[in-house]
Amino acid sequence: MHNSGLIDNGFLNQGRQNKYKKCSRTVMDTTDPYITFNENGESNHWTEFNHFFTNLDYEKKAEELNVLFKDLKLERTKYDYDCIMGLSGGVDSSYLAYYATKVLGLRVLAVHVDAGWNSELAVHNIHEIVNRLNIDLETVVIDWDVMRRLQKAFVLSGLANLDIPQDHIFISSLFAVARKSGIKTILSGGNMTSECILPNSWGYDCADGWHVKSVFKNFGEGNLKGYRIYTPFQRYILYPFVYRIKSLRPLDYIPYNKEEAKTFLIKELGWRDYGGKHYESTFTKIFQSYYLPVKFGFDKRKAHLSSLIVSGQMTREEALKILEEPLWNDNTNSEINYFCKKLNISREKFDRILTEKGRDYSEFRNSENIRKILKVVFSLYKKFLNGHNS
Amino acid sequence: MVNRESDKRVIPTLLLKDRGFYKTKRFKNPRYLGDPINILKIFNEKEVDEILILDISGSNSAIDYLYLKEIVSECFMPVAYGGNINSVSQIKECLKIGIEKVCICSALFNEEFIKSAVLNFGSSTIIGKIDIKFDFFGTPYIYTNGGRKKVMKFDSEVVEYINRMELGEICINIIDKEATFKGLDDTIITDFSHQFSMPFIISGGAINKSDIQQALNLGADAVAAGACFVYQGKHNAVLISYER
Amino acid sequence: MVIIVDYGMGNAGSIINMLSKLDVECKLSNETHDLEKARALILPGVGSFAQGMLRIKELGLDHIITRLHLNKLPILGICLGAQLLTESSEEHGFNKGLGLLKGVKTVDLAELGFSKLPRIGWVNLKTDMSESFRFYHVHRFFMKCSRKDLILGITDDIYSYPVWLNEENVTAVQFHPEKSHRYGFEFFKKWLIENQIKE
Repeated sequence: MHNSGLIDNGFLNQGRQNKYKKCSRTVMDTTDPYITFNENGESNHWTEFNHFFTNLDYEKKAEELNVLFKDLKLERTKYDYDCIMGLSGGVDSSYLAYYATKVLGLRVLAVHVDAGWNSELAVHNIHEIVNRLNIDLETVVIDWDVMRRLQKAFVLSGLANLDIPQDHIFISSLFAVARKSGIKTILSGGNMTSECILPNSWGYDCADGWHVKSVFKNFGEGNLKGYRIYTPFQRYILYPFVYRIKSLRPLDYIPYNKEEAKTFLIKELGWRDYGGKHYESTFTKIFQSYYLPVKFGFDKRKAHLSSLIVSGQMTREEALKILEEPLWNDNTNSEINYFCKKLNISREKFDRILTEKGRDYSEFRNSENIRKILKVVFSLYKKFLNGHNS
Repeated sequence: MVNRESDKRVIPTLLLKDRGFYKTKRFKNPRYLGDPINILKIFNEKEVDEILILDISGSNSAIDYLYLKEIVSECFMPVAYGGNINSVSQIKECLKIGIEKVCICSALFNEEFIKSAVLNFGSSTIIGKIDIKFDFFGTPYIYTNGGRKKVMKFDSEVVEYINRMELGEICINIIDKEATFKGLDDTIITDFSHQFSMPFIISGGAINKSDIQQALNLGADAVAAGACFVYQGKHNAVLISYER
Repeated sequence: MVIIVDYGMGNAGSIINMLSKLDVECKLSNETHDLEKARALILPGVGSFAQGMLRIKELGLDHIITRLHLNKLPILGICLGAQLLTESSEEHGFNKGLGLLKGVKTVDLAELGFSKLPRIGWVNLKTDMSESFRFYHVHRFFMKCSRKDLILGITDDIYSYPVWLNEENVTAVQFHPEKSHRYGFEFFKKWLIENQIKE
């Protein structure tokens, strides 16, 4: 690497396993430590989601979508908004903003959560989207000091998913706004076609409030006042059953094509592309393009691209070609310096952390067991219902 | 003859307090905007003409030069800084850390200090800022200390003093218009901009690009504005924008 | 190491920031041993010509700079720093400059017809270069140049005047590249490459 000051310990392509192997269908490989292959060299990721997409009936889905939102509109006639949605400036939420307002005809309150890392592009895109689509916007600005201390705690912890603080506050803020404004439906731009594949080892669940608190308790300074935690109680009981707020993913009901969405946004809505997934946040950019690859050998592009392959939007050859492009460029070093400056970590310390052994999420308190139990309970309940009905 | 169009500037104003940027309305109810470093980075990437940072922490707080240096280091355009500047040594320190010019408000009528500042640092380094409130009869009065202390009437004597002091620029800010989106004050522009011998900056109430353009056409050399660059839409959502 | 000359006038902070972002080692100094070992000199400056020359002479920098110039060391003057490199200035009476740029004198902008001074703002430039440039200017005096071959850039204006001069190792710019974001970066890159300080 000719870039000064950047670490390249060779994990990027080899991972930590002794025998390197790549999936014959996607571009996932043994940098996912739990990957398995069948006799055709196809990974478990391919097998699982190929099955999913082959059995996906978009006509049926379109009907479901219609029903869902017809009911919603009827319920909300005496309110100002039908639903809220998170707007980050990225392609998914930007396209969803268009789809929800112009195609589904919904009255949307857009919510942007500002965690202090917005790139100029993100801000530009949000501006264009809300202005051109005439959407009302609210922003939640997180107190930077507590955000910084929490993100710093995660960096010091050596965990894989450094983006938990940002992702967690997006979720908790969105639910809080929904609750405050009496809106029952949250739209999310999440979609299977570009996100279905994501190994657990590459990053633990960001919605687990116990996990966030535990990491902060062990590595953070001060307290978390000003940072809203999304607790398991809120997640499993309060919001779904008491406030009856639900989250929907409309992009899962349509044949959502990322490239076509981008082209459309650029042409019709003044949107600008920033090259990488989630690069609307400068923190996420360094996290995904430098921290993860250097410390753990994870290149998240493989997951995104593999999702696009299995959903038929990209060929394996195209994906391999994209992976040949370097993650780093002439700006990376100064972006890392910016990252360290904002977090108040010295560059030397950060470089040291990158060479230390990483931690696993299970080393901290988490509510994964509750989730597992609830899953079992829910599936038993479904079985019971089906058994009862037959 | 008036200076060329390209000389006209549009300057976002940002209020600094406790290491955060805030937005007030009529100098009241500060609302948190976020981390200064990131906000300045965004403005820098939007290639703004200039930035004005005003410290609203209050008259008893010392300037945190170390922190100021950190945030100014994200700026590759001219930065003007103000907020309780009343000594030559403060100005010296500010210039050392990359601030281009200082904005003097409460100490503006301290003749000795102003003369010394201009002599030591050159007039182009010193901007004067006058905060104005109108009384019931529409007479403009100068206020200092964050709009709390009524000092004197704003009239031709004040103009003569400012001209005599040879400041680099003069900024007139209409307190009651701040963040109201009611439009910049045309009368002040037409009445006073040509009376000053240095570039004249109007501030307070800017609505949007065309409102700003109009003020510049009327004779203002520059416009300083806050709300229209940091708020969006009917809920005043915090979102940075800037258009040249 | 690029040395930014410290004579107590003008802020080097932004210059250092910009050069650091370009991965160029630089330092603010007025020590003889630093200047002599420098790869290039930058002379910044904000304030009055007379005071600038006074400070420079007090620190003995006039001799060092002249000597280094004779050895063809790349020297960049910015704003007041550029004016100090000229023969003389008429600010507050007649004052002699360092005289590195012969045939260039610092003169009042009022001579050209400007009413509101100092001139503060962004100005487009006219050059023979392929890139388009606009820079932040703040000045009351300008470099009047009788030798056309030295002029690399003039203001794109009714009152057009030179703002970018170059003669061999000496570059003098009236504007502030360190305050001109994207254009400033391009300017520094150009200057660094042309003087072989950076590839």
